Amino acid sequence: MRLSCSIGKLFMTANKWNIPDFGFGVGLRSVHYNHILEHHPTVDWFEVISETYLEAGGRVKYVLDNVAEQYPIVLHGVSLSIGSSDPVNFEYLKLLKALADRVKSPYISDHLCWTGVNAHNVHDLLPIPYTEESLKHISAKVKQVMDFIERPLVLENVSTYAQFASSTMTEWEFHARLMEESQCGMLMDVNNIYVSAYNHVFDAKEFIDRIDPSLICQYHLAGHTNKGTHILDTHNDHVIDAVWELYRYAYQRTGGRNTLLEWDEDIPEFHVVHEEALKAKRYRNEKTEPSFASAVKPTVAPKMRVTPLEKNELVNSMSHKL
Amino acid sequence: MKPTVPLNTIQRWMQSVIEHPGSNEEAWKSEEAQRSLPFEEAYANVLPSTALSPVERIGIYRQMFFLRMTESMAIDYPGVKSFLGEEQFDRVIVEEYIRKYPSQSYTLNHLGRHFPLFIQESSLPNRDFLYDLARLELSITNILAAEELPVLSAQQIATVPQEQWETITLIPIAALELLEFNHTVCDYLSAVNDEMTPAAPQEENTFAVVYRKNFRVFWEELSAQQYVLLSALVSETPFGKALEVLINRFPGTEETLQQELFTWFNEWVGNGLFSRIEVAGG
Repeated sequence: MRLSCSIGKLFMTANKWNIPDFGFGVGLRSVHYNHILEHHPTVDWFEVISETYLEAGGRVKYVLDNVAEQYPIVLHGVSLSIGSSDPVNFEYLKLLKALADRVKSPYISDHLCWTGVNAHNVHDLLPIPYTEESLKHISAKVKQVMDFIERPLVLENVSTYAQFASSTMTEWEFHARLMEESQCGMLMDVNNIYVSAYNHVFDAKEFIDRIDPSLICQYHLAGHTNKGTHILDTHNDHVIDAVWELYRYAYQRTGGRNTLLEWDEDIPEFHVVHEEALKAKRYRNEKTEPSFASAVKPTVAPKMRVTPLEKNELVNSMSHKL
Repeated sequence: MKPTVPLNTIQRWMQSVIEHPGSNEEAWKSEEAQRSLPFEEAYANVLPSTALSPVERIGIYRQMFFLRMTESMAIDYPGVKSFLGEEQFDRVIVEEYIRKYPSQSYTLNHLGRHFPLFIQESSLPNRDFLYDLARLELSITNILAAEELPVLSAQQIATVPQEQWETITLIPIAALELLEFNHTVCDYLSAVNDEMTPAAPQEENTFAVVYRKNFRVFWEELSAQQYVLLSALVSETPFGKALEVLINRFPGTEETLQQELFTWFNEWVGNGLFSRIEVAGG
């Protein structure tokens, strides 16, 4: 046991920014506020949706300040819209930086996507065409943002349901080149890789293999909903085995990285969410199963009509991003 | 050969398709979408999956968009939704409100900010009542997020010497709003909140205070006298002058008011409506 751990460590890489590994965290959600304030559960760290707290007063602010006194906090945003052709919104960044300073967030994460253009916000994580033009534009914006927030910006790969014919590179090539050119980090959402691999039929392992492990700062894990024709990133259930296996695979390349379990709809009691997050420990310490590759190969769904989706499923899939 | 479509063009096109009400096909073929990308070009630029066509794939984002918008508005405006019914409420939000006032904020918490104004400008049946109701619901949303300030205690008030009362100013908490309506909206919303069947709203001049105490938001109906006095106080009129305003507005009621004042004031202090006292020259 000791020997295998030592060998494992040989392959682990420190992240480029020496961001500390807080361990296994969970997203701070309002349904758990009372439990956290009353019971002070032993949690390694909390991730908070930045937009919820940027200008909030009242109870939301009170809870955040209390939690920040007791636990490490990392800000995770949904409205940076780094991929939008609109310019950087410095008014938003001003609020974001002030909040990051207040809760001592060592880095700020958001998504490699766009959420609106011409000053609109559709409040969704929309896909980018992976082109040289997009790369140049987003890279310049990332540099502006990092200069302003004075801490690393870490971008998450998103679950997508559409791809553009004009893309000239894969998502992982785009993400890798963006990090190289702009010096941002990556929040690797293993569930999102799985979802997009299913929706667009690519090999999830190849995505992971092509990302420089030293640029990965954090992992996300979550549940999803398989609709047959496609998977929706719903965050409303336990993490499926195939996603855990992907996490194990990715972790073996990086070693200690902040790992966070997202659960945003049909949220169970706090201890259930926390126990799900702690399952990640198991996957950090075990070897990859030989059957892994076949387990994560995307299956080709039969051609069928899209039936109207259940409202709850759609709201579930989005509420964590609001 | 791969199509080359500028980033801004793709994004303007996709956003206009997502935001357009109606069917997927209507959205793709809308004038607004085709101004950015003609249908054929757009269709060629979105890849099909093994199971879904380009139209169906973008349709996933469209469905989520409308559900997110209606869900978000329903959280802020349960009273308006209850009055209109789910179908009409959703139609008004999707086909009219977000077309006129699309989200331009980093947060969906701001999506409903223009809803009372939108209702006032609309031709909805029972528009005047809905306008009042929406104003009350917006106030509740605003108060939830307002800044938390220290609350003035009865003990602190007791330290003010009697001779200074005329000149003191009571500074209100930030989480407080006073509202005047032309309908019985407080009763209506309370019934909706309690999952009761609300009585038909009446046309009547009513007044309310919306405030937050211990992180919970309350709305309470006020009498006309209470509203006048509290309005004067929260606009930081010195106590003596605020009483003058009240007496001038309701002449001949001094005797009754004197008895009621103590009760009102006790209640307001107990509800934590004031944050501190400013003493003239102090």
